[in-house]
Amino acid sequence: MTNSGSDSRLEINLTPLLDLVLQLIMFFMLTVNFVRVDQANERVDLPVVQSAVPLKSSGDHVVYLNISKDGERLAGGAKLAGATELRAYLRERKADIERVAKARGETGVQVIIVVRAHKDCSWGDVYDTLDECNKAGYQLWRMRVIRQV
Amino acid sequence: MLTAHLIRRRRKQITGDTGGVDLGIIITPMLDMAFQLLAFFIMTYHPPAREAEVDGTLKPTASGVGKLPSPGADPVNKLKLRLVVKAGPSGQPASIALEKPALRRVEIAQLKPPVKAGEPPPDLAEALKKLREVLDDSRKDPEERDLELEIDADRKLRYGPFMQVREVAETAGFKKLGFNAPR
Repeated sequence: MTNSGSDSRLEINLTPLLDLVLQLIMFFMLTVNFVRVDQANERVDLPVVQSAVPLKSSGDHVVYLNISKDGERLAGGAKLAGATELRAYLRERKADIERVAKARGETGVQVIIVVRAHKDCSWGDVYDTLDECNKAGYQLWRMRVIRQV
Repeated sequence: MLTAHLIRRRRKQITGDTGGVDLGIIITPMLDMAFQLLAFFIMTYHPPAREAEVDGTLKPTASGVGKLPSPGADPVNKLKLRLVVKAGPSGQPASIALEKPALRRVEIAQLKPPVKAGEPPPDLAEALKKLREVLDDSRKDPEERDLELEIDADRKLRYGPFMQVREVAETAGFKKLGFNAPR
């Protein structure tokens, strides 16, 4: 603070402000979690259960599918209309994953379908989706839920 | 420029500095950029969800492709326990029963309709508790403990209650748990 006769000047010390701002930035940078739209769709409220297992590492051999409250199938944010389109999408994704795995020299690759279904959609819609996954050649599936703590 | 000059002159008067290079770091753009970064990260902050998974497999057939059971594939209970869940008009569970071999049937619960639309029946928790007790009794029965447990739910049953019933069935400890195609 400087004092020049009757004229007092207030200088704002920016150091602690800048320090705190940078600390906040560091915090958010460390905790940032960019989630892909197909992995976490905000239109889907998952059911709550108590005995589900924690998420395994996603890996590359996973295909995500969301089912909204109205039974619409959503993949990557886009709606899949009809069973034919769904099956085509599933087959295409499976073929892509298997092709990439083969190029890497991996063998015995099993592609897993992860279904995130809204808690208020009907069981029939979920079953039909699994049926289409079955017809597309998937053998392993995982249903996402919210684990009640 | 004039202001900077006045500041430098005043600073020399105070510190007695007679010369040298005056490095005045302008903090403003740095602070501005810092705030922008902060705003970006605040907006993209996504707290980790408590998501978990339930695993399942499809039945392999001789051709190697999985197969889901078709409706009515096993209308008569031979060597299976069948958990029958009927849905009401709103899609919430209306009744739960357990069908055992030799056409025995145990009525577990007749649920009351939900008070509000979109909510589960008020006695669902109690019904699930009773279901667990019945399944535990079946597990203790030497004739039933090794049977496969199948869930036979209505098509319009809401997925949330279905998963709750499935959870109870899964934690009962039967070796095999499956589900029939909904009707």
